[in-house]
Amino acid sequence: MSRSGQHAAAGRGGAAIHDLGYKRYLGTRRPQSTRWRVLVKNAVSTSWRGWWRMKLWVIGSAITTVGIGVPMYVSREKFIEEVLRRVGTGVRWADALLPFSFQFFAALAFILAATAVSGAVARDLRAGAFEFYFSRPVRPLDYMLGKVVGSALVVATALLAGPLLLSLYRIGLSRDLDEVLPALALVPRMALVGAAGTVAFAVVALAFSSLSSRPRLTTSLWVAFYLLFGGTARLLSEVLGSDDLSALSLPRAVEGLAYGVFQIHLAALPGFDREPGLAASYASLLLYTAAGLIVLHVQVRRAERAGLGGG
Amino acid sequence: MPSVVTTTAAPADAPLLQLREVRKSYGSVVALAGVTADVSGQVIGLLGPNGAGKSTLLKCMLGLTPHEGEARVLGLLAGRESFRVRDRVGYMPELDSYLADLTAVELCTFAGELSGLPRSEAMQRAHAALYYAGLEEKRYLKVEGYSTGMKQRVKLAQALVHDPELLFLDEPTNGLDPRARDDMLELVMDLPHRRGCAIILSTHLLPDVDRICDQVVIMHRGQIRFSGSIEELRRGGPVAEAAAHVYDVEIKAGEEAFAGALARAGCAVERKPPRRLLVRLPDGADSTLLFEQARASGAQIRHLEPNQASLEEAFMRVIGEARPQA
Repeated sequence: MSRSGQHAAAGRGGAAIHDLGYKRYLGTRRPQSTRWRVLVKNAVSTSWRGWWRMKLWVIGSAITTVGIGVPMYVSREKFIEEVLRRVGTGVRWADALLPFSFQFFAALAFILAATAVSGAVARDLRAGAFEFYFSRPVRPLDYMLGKVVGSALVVATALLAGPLLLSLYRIGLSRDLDEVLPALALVPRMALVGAAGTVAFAVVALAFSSLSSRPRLTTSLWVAFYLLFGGTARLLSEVLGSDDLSALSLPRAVEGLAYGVFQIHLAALPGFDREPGLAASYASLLLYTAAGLIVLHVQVRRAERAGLGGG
Repeated sequence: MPSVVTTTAAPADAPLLQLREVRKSYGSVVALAGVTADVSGQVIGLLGPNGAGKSTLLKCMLGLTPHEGEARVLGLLAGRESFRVRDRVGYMPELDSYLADLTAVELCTFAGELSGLPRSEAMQRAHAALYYAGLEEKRYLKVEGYSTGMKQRVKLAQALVHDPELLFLDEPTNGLDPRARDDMLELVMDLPHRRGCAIILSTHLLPDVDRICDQVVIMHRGQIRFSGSIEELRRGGPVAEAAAHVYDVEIKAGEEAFAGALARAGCAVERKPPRRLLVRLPDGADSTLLFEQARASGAQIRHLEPNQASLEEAFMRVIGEARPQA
């Protein structure tokens, strides 16, 4: 742009109007159907600022990945495998550590959702951002898609990236080709569990964030839901002797899905909780995701209808 | 790289707004009662008391609310082609509207990208828009920490960044001190000349409209009561028609004789001591009559001007309410 018009004085009031020069934009515009991607990019880049919101927990996820990777490596020793076989595990310990790792990644995903996701829509409501969005070619669907995908990418740094890296590492630990082929099958399983958990965590946290324009309140609701409601569900499942009831706890549903998909059951071992069944875990994650999407949709539509202007 | 979508231009001679029997109700409350008008101009004031239907009309024009009838903005159907309309229209909201954690540059860049500009273009135009709005030194600060005046400026910048052909400004001088208000009005006045965009200014502040608008649309009870130039508003209607024949005359001396002469010539005279007269001329007469009678009565006219209705009086006349007592 030319600077010819810089500091041009304007008209009669004498107030200086600064201008870097102006040319009408005659280029092409991004198709309306892809503008949700701009929201995705914004959601991720906003979360990435500062240390406490995302970076710290991504580092935590990396440490957890390494922390699980070390015992996976050590467990390849024949002596340890023999010991484990004698205490009754019918699977390789390195394989069993993969679904086991989800309880750590789920904890990190919970923190990530609390710091980066559970206040996201609330902050938009508080700042009046819906006027900003909907006076542009942004549909409520674009907004939802942008927020859900953006939040899922944030949560995926814990709940999907770490498990996927571990499953690839597991392939690298294979001693021979016979071990490689079954290990390859672990990758899509880890991806499935990680993706299902990621979407559920992101959507539910976003749904809570849409309930109020006070980010602290919505984050508190998410934390209360995760810890109190989840803890109560786990307690009730123990008291009532119903393993599937514990699938109402989001992290237990992820763990139950992981153990179910890997067909590994550690509950027989001392110190391990009974995990919910595969069907109950699937159903729980699906229901939570569906309910979260419905809440989010209703709240976003309401915000859109509230629309522009005052008088 | 963004995919290619060509922006189709509306017919160049199309009015900014074409409204045909636009109706909108919220339950039993009629917000727009069959609005029909063609609106053109450079800076158009959208006036009306609270509840007149201004915001609803704005929503209809942006395609944010379904409505009956036909509303075209820049030749595009507001309902069916709302996204194309919003690509070509900028909106500066009345209330705070920003994104938490974003600086002004990031906000405006984001706004440009949401309106379809490629990122590099959006960023370049964000800097230019903020520079234009007078925020060049504060553009890297977070918007939530801005003062009211700065927030108003950043709202203007984000509305400009995607190069709109039409700007909707909703109460742009709200909450501003007199100097900031002057600066904002200067910017708004400058926009059509420098950027070639038309402006629709929704406001309650009649002095703002008087200062910067060339056209005015007055809404009341869901209908457009007046659409035309400010001059037409001042002169239009039966009351103003009569006002066009009324002159405010100040004389140096001899007001008694002058008033008598005017009365004999068929004028209605109202005396405003000490030396002013409000003179309504008879049909067919013009100001020459005043000079003739002054000469005849020996009075000396010091000042003479048509007694134009103020914008406030004209506004009150249009919406059919008496001027509030001071």
